[in-house]
Amino acid sequence: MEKYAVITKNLSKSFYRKEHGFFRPATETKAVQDLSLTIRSGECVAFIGPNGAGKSTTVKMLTSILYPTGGSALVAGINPWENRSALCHQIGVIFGQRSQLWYHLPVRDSLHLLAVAYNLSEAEEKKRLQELSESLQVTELLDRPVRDLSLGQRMRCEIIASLLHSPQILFLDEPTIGLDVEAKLLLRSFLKQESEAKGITILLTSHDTGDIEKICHRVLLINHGSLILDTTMNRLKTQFMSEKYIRITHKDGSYQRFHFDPRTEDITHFLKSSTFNQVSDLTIENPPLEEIIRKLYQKEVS
Amino acid sequence: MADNQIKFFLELIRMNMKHSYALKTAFWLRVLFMLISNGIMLVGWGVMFHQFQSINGWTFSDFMFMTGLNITAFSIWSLFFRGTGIYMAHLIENGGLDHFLLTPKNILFHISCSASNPAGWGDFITGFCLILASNLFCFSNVFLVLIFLICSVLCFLTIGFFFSALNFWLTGFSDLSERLFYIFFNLSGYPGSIYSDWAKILLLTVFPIGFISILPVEILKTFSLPSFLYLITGISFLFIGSILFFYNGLKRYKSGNQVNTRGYQ
Ligand SMILES: Nc1ncnc2c1ncn2[C@@H]1O[C@H](COP(=O)(O)OP(=O)(O)O)[C@@H](O)[C@H]1O
Ligand SMILES: [Mg+2]
Repeated sequence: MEKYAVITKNLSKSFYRKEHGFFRPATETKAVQDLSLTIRSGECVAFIGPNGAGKSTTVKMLTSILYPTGGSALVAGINPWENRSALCHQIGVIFGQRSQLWYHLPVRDSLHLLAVAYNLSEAEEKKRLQELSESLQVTELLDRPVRDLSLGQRMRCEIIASLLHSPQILFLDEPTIGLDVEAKLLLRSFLKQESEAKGITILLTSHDTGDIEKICHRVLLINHGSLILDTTMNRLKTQFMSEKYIRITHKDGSYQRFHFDPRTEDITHFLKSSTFNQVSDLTIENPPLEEIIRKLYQKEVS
Repeated sequence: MADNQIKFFLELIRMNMKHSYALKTAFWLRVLFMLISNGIMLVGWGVMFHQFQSINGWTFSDFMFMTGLNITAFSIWSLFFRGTGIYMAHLIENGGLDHFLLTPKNILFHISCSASNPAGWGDFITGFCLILASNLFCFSNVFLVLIFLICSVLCFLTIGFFFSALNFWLTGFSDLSERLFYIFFNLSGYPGSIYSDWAKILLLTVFPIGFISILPVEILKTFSLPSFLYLITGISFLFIGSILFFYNGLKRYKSGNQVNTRGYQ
């Protein structure tokens, strides 16, 4: 296996739009600008940033869908735009909003076609399909036509379609859109298990912090197409918000919540000054990831 | 790996057929109405030839052969390669190529073979019967007719690739590209003898429908090797050109974030 799953150097993409008539110069949108990053094989990386930051554009370039306007990239050691079909065997891509299933046909048929596209033998196909459909609990959906499935059911089948060829690197762009709580949990634990057991690399964009927290160890924040922050999940939680949440439960059942910042406030002073009586329980928590990310985005805007 | 490509495309065509037969009533109705529509068209031309006997030297039998070739080729296009034309144009416009780009098989034919119009069976039956009924057809030239048929299908594919790929450059063009394709198809249904020499030059180069409606009948009536070679090299040249045109456009593909939104053009 390659040591690095993804290497990019000054990767850039601009979109051009004719806004002021045909003969006037086109307006340029810089979706991604000079993005340089490396992801080692086996890493699980979250790609975060506000709407329009350039996450999807980056994923689409790395998966060979979009041609870059500048820079270079290697994915699984392959140049995505020069050797697309070799790349396809190495990567799996899940877009929350796309379909690769045939509308009027049973899911099983679409999956079989993909198995043929990826040159799977019949035995491999059967084994992998069974494994996946049990993990995502869709065994009884496989014989129904796609048009009869609910959005969440269809999404589960789409995920199976993207994973059928056992890719080494997974790109997930908002994979949990439309999934119910149950399905989200199934998908997360499946991805986690898959990455731990087989060492696959995961690059995930999501607005659901639950996805990020459960699956990823490393966080890349991008905004306006540039990399702003590259850190680990642990550091993100401890370093970027020192605030603590304290919840005190009294014997009579009532409770109080405080949050304080140990950097600016003195904890002994805080405990002394508060008027506690008959404390029955006390918890100290880090702020939720959502809060941290919100603060980060706010800092970006200002 | 060539064998894997072939296995995949056979499976794809099987899926495509199955998909078009999934709604059975609609399937049979479309076949039936296509037969009726073709019947009406033929009665019209039949009346015309009855009046005039021949049009610039072409008899009704010559016309039947040409129409048969044209409709059979078109039916093969609409049964097996319906993905060129409006389907591909919409995919390009709406960012739908992503999935095809992510599959390790030839993208152009993967898209082309991903749609099918059941009405094509009606055309296929009509066209096949017309070829058989024409005096120009006999068993000694089956092989030649087969070559004409292949060239005619390539001609439709060329036109389809070209007009679909235009959508890489022009946004909002997809429905127009379908319309242009049908203009070419309809033009290819007129007897090749009606055109002036200048028009023929155009129709055998940039508007390549003469490869369907002029050359085959003329070659069958009086065989000429140069014409035959021109037919084969000309159409190969155009076909390869349209493929290169598509791949060139593919670099401009913008993808997109389609969810169903309002606004229809
Ligand atoms: N196909 C496109 N054509 C023009 N502009 C686009 C296209 N796709 C994305 N953009 C622009 O590029 C920027 C980044 O978009 P995107 O990568 O989709 O962001 P996100 O981080 O939300 O996934 C946005 O400003 C968006 O408007
Ligand atoms: Mg996005």
